[in-house]
Amino acid sequence: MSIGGKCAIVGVGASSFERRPEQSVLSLIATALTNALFDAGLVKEQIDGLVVQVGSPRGADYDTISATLGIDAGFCAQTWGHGRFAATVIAHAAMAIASGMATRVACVMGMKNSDLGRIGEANNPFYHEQFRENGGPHGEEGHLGMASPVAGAAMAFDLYCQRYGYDRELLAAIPMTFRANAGRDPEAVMRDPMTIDDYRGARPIVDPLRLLDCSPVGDGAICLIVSKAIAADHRAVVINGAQGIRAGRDTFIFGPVGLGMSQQSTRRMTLTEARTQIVYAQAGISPDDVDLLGLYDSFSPLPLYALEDFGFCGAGEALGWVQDDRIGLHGELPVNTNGGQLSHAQMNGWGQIRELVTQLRGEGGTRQVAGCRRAMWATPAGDALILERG
Amino acid sequence: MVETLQPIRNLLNDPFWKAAKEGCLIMPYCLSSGRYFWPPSPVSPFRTGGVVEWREAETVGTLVSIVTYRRAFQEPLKDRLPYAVGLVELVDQVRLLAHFAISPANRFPVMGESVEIFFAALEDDGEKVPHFRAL
Repeated sequence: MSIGGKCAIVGVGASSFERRPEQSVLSLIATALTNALFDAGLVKEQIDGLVVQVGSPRGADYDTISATLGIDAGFCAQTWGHGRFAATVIAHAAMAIASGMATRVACVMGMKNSDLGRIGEANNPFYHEQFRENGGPHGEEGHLGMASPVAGAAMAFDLYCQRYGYDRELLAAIPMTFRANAGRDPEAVMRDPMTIDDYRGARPIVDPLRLLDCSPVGDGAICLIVSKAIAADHRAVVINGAQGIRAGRDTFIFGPVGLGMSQQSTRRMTLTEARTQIVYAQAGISPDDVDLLGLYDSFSPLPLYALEDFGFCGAGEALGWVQDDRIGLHGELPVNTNGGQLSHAQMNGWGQIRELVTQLRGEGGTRQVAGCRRAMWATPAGDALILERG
Repeated sequence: MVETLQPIRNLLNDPFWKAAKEGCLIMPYCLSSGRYFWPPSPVSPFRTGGVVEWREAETVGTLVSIVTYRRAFQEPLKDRLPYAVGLVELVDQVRLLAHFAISPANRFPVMGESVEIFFAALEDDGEKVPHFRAL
């Protein structure tokens, strides 16, 4: 049984994304949920499922959200707080609906980071994760000084450049393209144009990555409402394919399969393997049919790996492939048209999925991609969605 | 909060840290497949039911990737900036992360160069943790 075509995203809503350490995360979530309900033309009594990402203490847990906001849900779930669960949350909601456990599921991501500092710092609730048994979730080993997710991203990118013979400065294409896109979205938190000199002159954090390779700390919430797909609903965006997160010895969270990080093999996916994954089989399409991409970009190298692992280009080709504005708003394949996590807001990727919905509805304003019918969300972790205009 | 660099110690990983204290590198080894592996596991990650024992491992390997910290995330390492952490592929086909203290006396290795693992503490009374140096 495929999940393809059975469910749709029928409402999206968000808070704004500026830092406000004094605010309650429940207020941010309430704003996102209310906006999503209004967008869907629903009232909260019509919601019978709730899937939450992040949770306390950065966010709020499913039980607090339900009781505080008056949601009476018979199907609840909550995922880990890391930004690799956006597609998984949507997939959970779609599976619950397709299997008859719920009819309308509110998918909620809310978090407040501004009073917690960077992940890896002592006052952040994730501080102890770098001392997690057998290593942190991004390759951290705090006892060696390998702290913070940025280090795992830096180490994988260093290896990628070594393995495929790239000049690391080519990476500028990613943050600069997304920043240019953010300039067309009044919601984006980083809208000032980024020049190549800004990029090259940015403060080094963990070589080879710099400040402008890292998404900014932000506060906010996003809500997506998933319901059964109804043919007559033209603002609904149909979920045509979904794929879960991968894990195992051949997976490194901030690199492609088989890069050779930690205990990964060095065997990369072939183009055929990449282009025939579950998400494509479910939707019955290939990467060539995708008009618009949303890619996970908490650090600027990450989109490269999703482009390769989902077969938009071959293994080791992405850093060359993204040059010359190929992924720009008017390029061959626009990516992160709202600015992504790097420039729109660090919302664990949920901002990009919301943007795909906006674009598929044709509501992208000055950044609207013409003739956009099919859009895809993809991450190096393997979780992916294919969405289609209703 | 008092920040410490103390790793999680338990019965599973205790042999590694005890050997490290003596300057010796031991790694879990799967007798069924004849392969070392990392990180520690009570069962073989290669074969169901594969018998696992700790064995002394070769300290020589190749530098695969390296990052240099320019910003301190951990208070106890603030005065050591800049420092580096490298991914070392040992001759036994296992990769290990190791610390690298940047100083004029310690030559910064290039990628693919042969390096050697040794153990040293990063803070007073701290655990001895893997470091590497150019051979």
